[in-house]
Amino acid sequence: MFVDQLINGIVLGSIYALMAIGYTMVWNVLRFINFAHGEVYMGGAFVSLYLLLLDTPIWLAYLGGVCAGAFLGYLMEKVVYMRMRKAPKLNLLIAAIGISIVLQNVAQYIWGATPERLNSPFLSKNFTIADMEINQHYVFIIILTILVMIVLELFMNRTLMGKAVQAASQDINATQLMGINANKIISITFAIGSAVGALAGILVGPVFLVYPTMGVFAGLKGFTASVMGGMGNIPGAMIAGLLLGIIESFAAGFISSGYRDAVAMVILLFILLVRPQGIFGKIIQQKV
Amino acid sequence: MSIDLHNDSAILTIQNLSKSFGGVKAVNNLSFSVLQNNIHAIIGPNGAGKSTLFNLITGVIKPDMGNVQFLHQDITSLRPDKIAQHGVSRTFQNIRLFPDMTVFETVLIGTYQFTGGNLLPAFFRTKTFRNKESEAKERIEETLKFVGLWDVRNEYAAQLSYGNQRRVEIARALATNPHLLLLDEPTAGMNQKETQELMSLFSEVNQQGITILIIAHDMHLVYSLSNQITVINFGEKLAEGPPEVIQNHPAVLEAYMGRAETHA
Repeated sequence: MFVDQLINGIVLGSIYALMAIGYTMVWNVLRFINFAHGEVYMGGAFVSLYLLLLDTPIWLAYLGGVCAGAFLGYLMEKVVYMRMRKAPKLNLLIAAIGISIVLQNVAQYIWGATPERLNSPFLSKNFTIADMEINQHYVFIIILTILVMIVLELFMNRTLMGKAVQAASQDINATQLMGINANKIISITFAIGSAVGALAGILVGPVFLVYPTMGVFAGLKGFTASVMGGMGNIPGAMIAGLLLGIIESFAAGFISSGYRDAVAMVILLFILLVRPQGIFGKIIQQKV
Repeated sequence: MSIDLHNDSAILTIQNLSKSFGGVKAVNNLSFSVLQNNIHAIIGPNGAGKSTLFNLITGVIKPDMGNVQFLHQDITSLRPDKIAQHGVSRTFQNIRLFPDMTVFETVLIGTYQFTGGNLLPAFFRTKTFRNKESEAKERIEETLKFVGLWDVRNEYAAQLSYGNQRRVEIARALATNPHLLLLDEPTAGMNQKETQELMSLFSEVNQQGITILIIAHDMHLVYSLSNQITVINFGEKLAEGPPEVIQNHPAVLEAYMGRAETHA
């Protein structure tokens, strides 16, 4: 029971962690919360589903979904947010909510509102370790999440472009004045964050099904995790996402599954009260 | 520097530049030229529009009227990163470093335009990319040794002394390979020793063929370092000339006598 809940929690937490990365990366370069990020998660899952209907090989369908998610994120930045660079951040926030609702409706128009299961080559298989059965798709989710974290960490810290993204996160104007195209850095950030978000949606599709509003709650949890981890802190978002998933899973298992969200939110409130900068966040001094 | 220019030709020409914020004319019909290889100082009381002028030159804000020409090219409407790539670099009045970066990483950002940009060559580490990368690393080493920060290259830039933080900013600016370096009150808040050391650094930078445009309040620094001075007040040009002319210029004396202190 304990180990079962732990594994469920890690799987759920992996999804939250992947989602949280998108929120935190966008926050880093634009200092706003992209509330349409949940729809990238949904969009990626739907595109994979659609590609499978066209008899695309499953890996290609997954990859297509990830690419479509990256493109969707890139597109919403280029078409909407980029035109609002000088607008108050509240305008971007409202625009994001608008995009989110529009995309949910577009998805419903194209694919309908009935939840559908995304195929997975592993879903019907189990690993048996000791006396326990572990679903192979769960293991797949965990492995892929770890892989994404490693790749992202390497990109951010070992590549020049990652360094430029970091610089832009810390002072975007100074970065631009050193000859770096800030718009390009912002586009890259959106594309990467969205690719990771779409991957989360695709990984969830075989377990929790695919439907137009699937991104709403996942988005909220990813956002929660990014705040818990300290907004703008990528490793913090990953760890907080995992923690949130594990806590929820234990709350569901040992209290009642009806209260899992409440427990998660109580913990969020507690963290915000005790450590407003998030578990791994630093207190950022405002520039004058 | 690869660009062949006569020593007496203008590297930067500002023509009829105007910028208002609300009803306030921060820069008003300002025209002047900066000659190649000069150390050109901009002086004027607080609020005279000096920093606005720097922001206009570097493209951070766009003028209401007028234009900026750099190396005989109109750069007025270019994006800040494009202007930087043309060879204009700067430091900031309030030192602006990347708080979570080491000295080396900070200067690395200055070289990004020569090496970064394309993800695929970087990902596959093509030969061209690796060559560019090692060139960039050499330049960073050279620059850090030049400003005297090579030994602290792995420390966080924001944790250095104030004087050394300014050096990091200068190194980052130099790493972009500029023809023109804009320094916005680089010695403000520095002690005597730091000021002296920075002044000799600026001379050395200038001797490498980099033209300097400097905003300063310290008259001693301005008179001993620069060979051309433009005085502005209320966004307008008050006087212009070499230090010996400006020192005794009636309009300058009046503008400065009008204030409680003769210099800050």
